[in-house]
Amino acid sequence: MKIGYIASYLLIISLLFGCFSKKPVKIAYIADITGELSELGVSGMYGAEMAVKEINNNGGINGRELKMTILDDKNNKKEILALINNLVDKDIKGIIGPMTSSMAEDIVPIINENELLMISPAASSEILSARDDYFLRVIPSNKYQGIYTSKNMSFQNVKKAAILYEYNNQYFTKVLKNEFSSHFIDNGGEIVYSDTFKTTENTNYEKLLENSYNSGAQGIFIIGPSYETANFCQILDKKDFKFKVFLPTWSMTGDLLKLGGSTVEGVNLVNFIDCCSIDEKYGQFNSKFIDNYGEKATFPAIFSYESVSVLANALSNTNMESSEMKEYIINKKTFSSPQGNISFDKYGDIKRKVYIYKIVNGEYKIIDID
Amino acid sequence: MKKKKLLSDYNKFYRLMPLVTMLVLIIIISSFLMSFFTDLATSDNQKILSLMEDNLNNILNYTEAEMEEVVSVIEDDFILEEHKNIYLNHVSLNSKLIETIFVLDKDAELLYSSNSESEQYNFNKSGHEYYTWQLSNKGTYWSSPYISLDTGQLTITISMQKNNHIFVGNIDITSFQKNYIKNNLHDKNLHMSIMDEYGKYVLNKDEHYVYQRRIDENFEQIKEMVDNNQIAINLYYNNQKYLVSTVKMERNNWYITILNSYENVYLFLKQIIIGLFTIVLLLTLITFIISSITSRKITGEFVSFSNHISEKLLDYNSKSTYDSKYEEINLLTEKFNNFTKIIIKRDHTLKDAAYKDSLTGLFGRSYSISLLGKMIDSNSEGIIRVIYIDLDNFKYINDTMGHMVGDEVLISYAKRLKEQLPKDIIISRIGGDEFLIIYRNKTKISKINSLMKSIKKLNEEPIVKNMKDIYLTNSIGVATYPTDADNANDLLKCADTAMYESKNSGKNQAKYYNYEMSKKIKRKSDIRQSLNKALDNNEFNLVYQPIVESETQAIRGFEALLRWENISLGSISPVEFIPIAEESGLIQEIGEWVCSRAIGDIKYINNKYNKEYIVSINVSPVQLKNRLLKHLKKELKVNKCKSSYIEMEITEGVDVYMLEDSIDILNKLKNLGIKISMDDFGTGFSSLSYINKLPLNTIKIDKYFVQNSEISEFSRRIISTVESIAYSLELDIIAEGIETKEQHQYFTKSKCNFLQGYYISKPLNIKDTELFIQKGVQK
Repeated sequence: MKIGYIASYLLIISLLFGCFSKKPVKIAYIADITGELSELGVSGMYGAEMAVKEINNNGGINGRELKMTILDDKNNKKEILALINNLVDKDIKGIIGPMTSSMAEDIVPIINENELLMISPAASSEILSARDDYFLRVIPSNKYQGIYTSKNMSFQNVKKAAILYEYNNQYFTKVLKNEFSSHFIDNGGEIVYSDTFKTTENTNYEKLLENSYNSGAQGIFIIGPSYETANFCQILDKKDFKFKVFLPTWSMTGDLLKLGGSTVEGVNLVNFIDCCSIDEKYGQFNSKFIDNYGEKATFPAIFSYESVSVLANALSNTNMESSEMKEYIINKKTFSSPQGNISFDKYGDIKRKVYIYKIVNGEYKIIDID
Repeated sequence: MKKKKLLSDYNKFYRLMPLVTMLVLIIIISSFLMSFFTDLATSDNQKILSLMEDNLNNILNYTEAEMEEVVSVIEDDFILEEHKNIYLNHVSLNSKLIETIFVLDKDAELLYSSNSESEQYNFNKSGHEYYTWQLSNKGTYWSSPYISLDTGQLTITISMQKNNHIFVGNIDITSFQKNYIKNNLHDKNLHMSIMDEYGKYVLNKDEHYVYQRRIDENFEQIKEMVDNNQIAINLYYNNQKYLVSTVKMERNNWYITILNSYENVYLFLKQIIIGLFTIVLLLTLITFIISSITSRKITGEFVSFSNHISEKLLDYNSKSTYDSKYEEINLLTEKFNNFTKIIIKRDHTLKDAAYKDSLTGLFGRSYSISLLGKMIDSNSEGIIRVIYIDLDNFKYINDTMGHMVGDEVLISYAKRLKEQLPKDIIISRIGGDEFLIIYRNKTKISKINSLMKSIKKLNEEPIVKNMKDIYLTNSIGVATYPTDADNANDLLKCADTAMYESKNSGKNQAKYYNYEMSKKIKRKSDIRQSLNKALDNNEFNLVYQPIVESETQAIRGFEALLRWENISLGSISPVEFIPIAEESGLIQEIGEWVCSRAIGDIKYINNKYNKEYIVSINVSPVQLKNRLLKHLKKELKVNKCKSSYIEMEITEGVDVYMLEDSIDILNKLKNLGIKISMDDFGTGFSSLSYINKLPLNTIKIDKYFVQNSEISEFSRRIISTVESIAYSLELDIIAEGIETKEQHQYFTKSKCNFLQGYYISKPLNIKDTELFIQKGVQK
């Protein structure tokens, strides 16, 4: 009779807990989502959240809910190190982020040491390329931004160029500056001025622009976030410095158009997404994004969406161990995305088409594809 | 086998029942209370929401009014052109929410600004939503939060348009947040938020959510709730369940939401339940302890009671008693003790019944045998005597005087045995009229003789019953251990055999067992067993000894004599097997067979030779019953034989009592026409009165007298007397056993009518009988 009671209790308990027995699969999104420079992180956050919602609506990770924790690194080294160290041992199966190369460079040793898979939507520094580690990314190396900006400048007959690059994110900005300079000089161009600015301090935009202008530069390559870039463009407009302005992918967000207004008209950019795509899949993605967030999806949102999709695919098809997931991604190589298929190499780096943009009538327009 | 429950387990289980009942009750009460508190919280949420909406409307209305005033002042040129920036600065400084105000022309270029010194305000604003909105709409527009280039802070803007001039007020979220929360939310357990139409936080108690431009994770459900006019739903935030109510502000599609954590909703309920649980647990604990103690006491009492029973089982006569604190247990103990007493009493009765003979008070058969066994087992030296005493003719006493008298005789005899025989012997009654005496004799070998004398002496005085003197005699058998047998049963059998021998040897005597007796018994047993199958195996045969007339030597008839030839025992004399057949009852069947065969044969011979020979058939008084009468009638009828051909010979030597019983049947036989003959006349109990009583036709003089007739004058006188009696009673008289010429001559001259014997003819089989008839009498 005792056995009968115990069995009944076990049955009731198992029924009660059966509903909750499937623990969610936890991942983390880490980026700068506060303050002036947060546009990249916030857009990325929206893209990642949309992906998580879609995955859960389609049954989650083998029936388990995918739960994403949002973490704000405030674009601060101390902050991100604390966050990453705190994440280790918390049953986090993977990390999406960070959005800047300097943040990525700071935490890659920790994630490697703890064998924690990380997929970055936007950290593109060439320094992070070709490493057999737990850092993967869906954005190609920034060297392509340098090369294609250089090509674009040459195409637009810019022989003398000035470069202003952000100081705190030098892992990205300086590498890009060097890649650009190298290619530009190799192709007969001349770097007539180069200087840095800090997002963390009050920048004398006017002075920097004036110096650039006085150097005889025909074009200027401003390597900074959209907020800063918009400021530069506003000043350029006010001071009537006749520059051809070239910007990296980093700047190509909604904020640039919003804050820059008419002053960013004609600005040249390079990116790896086709924001004018007429592909049905992308159309659905974009209209859904607009419905949810009231704005068009920009590259951080798309890359974050892709990053989450790739991570979820790996989670669903492995035992959720980072080493196995990494191997799975590299072996599978190709994943579908709203922008068509994306393909990883053996280091978890990626190659994509390069799109050359110009802002026309307050919108990003593709002028060339390679 | 199904496992039995333990009383202690039963107690343990049912002790928990009140706890279970209380828990169920608490669950039911709790579910009611939960519903009540949820309704209460929903109602509270609605009130707070209403208040918050009013407050927010007031703030927004106030801000809009401020902006409208600015529009009016600027556009209606109430102030000088050069004072407009100062005016705007004045307004922004005095406004609760508006931090900066600026006016744009239709190309989004700055016209006036509250912060005219800042370069940023001079920036082109054509990319902003308020600008594009105002280009295509007219009215008041509230933006979503964004990082303003003007302030570098998270900002929402209010914009209006007049005369192609766009008036923009920047509202710093931080001050909005602080003012609003401060004014509206004092309850730390409530989470309030305001979201724009996409769920992006405009205001949240956790301000990071606003600065991070986070979208409410359950915004879709919140929108659905509003669309479905639900007043509250349950949602999870950070794994915590909240009761959520929301209201949508139509002016700017903002959502004001209240999150009331269930921890808060059920705070009071929790206290009630904890209180109830505590009380129930305490009560249960107390009940459990008390019932445990009580239960242990009760089960303890049962254990003690069980020990008491065990003690009683070990020793029935134990005087131990058990005194419990509980009356019920004492009652049980008392009933158990009474039950034990009854069992003990019954046990004694059963023992007496087993050991003692209820009639005489002497030991019974089984007890005396077991006693004998024990004596043999423990006997190291000396001898053990077993004396088997059987009362002679006790059946006659029972039959004639009744069983009551028989019983009284037995009691009296037993009393004599007990009183008059030595005390160191064991006396028992082992059967109806059978007594056993057992004693051990270590040295005095002559004790048996004195004991036998004593036993004999017991019969000297008659037992007087119903005014009659009853004299008893005994047939006694004596057996000795270890000479005759080495165990109780065999020893008893030996004594029985010796007693049987005494009885067969004429009763009223004692015999000591010897091996020959056993051999006789064995022979008798073999005969008894073979007799059972003799008829079926056709082992019997009849031979006929002729009886002739003394004067003419003409054949009167034949005496049918039974012969038995067994394959293993050989030829057995009727003298040996007839008594055994009588004992076993087989005599009836054998007798009937003899009658059938003899009737058949005499009918055959008489028919064949046209004679009226008589066949004499020996019949035991045991056979003289109606059954024989019926059988004879049937056979006579079947064989169509005259009854006058048949003569039944009865032996005088049988018990006179038995003969007396048979008179009725003999009369019936005679009435049937069958002749009756008295065999062996002169040797038995027959008295003249009996000869008169019996319906005799013939007397046969015993061969003892016939064969002694030559030498004994006494025999001759007897013969002469018998002849005279027969003559006077008109009975035929046959001299049997004539074996010599002299005897033949003597009896031919005597008054004997008929002669029989070897001198005339030995018994003949049927074939030779026919030859004898055919030859006639030669001698």
